[in-house]
Amino acid sequence: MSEIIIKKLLIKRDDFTLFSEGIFKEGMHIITGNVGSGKTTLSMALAGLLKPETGEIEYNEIGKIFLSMQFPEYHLTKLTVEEEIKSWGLLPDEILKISDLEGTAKFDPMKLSRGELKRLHLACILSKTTDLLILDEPFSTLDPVWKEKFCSHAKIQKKITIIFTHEQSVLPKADYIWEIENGRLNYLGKIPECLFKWKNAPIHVKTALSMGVTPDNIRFEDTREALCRMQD
Amino acid sequence: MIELLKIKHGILNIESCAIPKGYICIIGENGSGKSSLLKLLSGLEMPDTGSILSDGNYIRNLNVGYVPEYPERQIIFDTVFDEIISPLRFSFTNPDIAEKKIVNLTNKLEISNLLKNKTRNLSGGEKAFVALAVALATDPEILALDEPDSHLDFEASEKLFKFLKKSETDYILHSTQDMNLAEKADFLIFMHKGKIKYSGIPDSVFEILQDTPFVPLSWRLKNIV
Repeated sequence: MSEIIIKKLLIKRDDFTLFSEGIFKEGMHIITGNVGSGKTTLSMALAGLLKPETGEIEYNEIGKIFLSMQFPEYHLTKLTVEEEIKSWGLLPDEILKISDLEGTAKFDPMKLSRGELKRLHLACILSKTTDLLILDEPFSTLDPVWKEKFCSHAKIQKKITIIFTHEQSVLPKADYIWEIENGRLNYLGKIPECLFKWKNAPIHVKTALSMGVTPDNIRFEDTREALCRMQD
Repeated sequence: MIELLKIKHGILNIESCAIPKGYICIIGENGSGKSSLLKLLSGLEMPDTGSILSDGNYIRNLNVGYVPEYPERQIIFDTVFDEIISPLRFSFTNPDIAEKKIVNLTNKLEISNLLKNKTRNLSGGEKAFVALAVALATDPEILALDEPDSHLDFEASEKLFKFLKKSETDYILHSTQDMNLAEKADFLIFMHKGKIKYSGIPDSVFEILQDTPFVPLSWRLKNIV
């Protein structure tokens, strides 16, 4: 079994501190927290890119790790869209088709809109084989059509996928919820049992809970099903 | 009214549109022309053909604030205070007046706690608020925001919305992927392939967009609750 064990991890920067502890088991993890709570910092620590003050992270049966940063332009290394895709070891035609960006192969990637760039980047990173995939705000800047497409994309489910997000409308089917609050990472539990504890839950989940029903998962369709069941 | 007539510019192709004063949201797929339209409406670019007039004035003769799609790319200074006060310094504003103004503005935006911070240490959402403060420092008549909310969580976008609603800026033009926010605009523009496909009050636009992913969550909830 793959897992990540976080042992009393303390990260400090200026007057900001973040304490994390817990085990990431196989499955899809959602981590929420307010702006400036430390989501990006923790995503980098989990990818092994940040030296903690104290504590450590143990990776069991995890080979490859991929981190998708919030801003897709940070990932750019080449001067054309085509070269950029090749730099991932992927076939340009295939990726351009998945991301509906055919005809942009010779473009400077920075000529794409940010949403298009995010689309290109997600199409690349999801196409890679990896044990651990960490996505920092993967849905920000995507339009509602593409949010849906990537959320339901089968390749978003790696051995362990960790999504840091504040997205409220469109979320993928997930297994575990975590929350960062007051400088601490808290494990809330397994979905759906933990949903009532989730302060940053999307409005539709909160609406369902307030009506006394617990959706099976966190997608809008799960709420719809739960509410329909109630009316039967 | 901001009046657009026979605009052709890059992918944009707009026959005519009249945008009333108030809080205006612009929605549409990625690549539909939202950013290009905002660049024209803020005078950063001039249309290849056609005209844009704001109450009879050329946009470039007006005071305009612009928050770009990549806020961190326009940051010049080391500290948040220096960054936000920079437009006033560039226009030779008296230092006492400038400082008072910045304190007042950052209080309203609830970011006065960031003033001493280094700009490079700000989170994505904080950068968006700092860029907004920079855009507002000189009291613009037109404020253009290019998806700043893509970096904001639910609470922060609520805060942004409340602030913008109270703002005295004549025209606030906000491109967004947050339909729950777009629903609350005074006027809504839906872009598709470079054209303004639908515009009007949000209710009328979303009525047409029923059965598309653009429908706000509250509408979808209303249909099942």
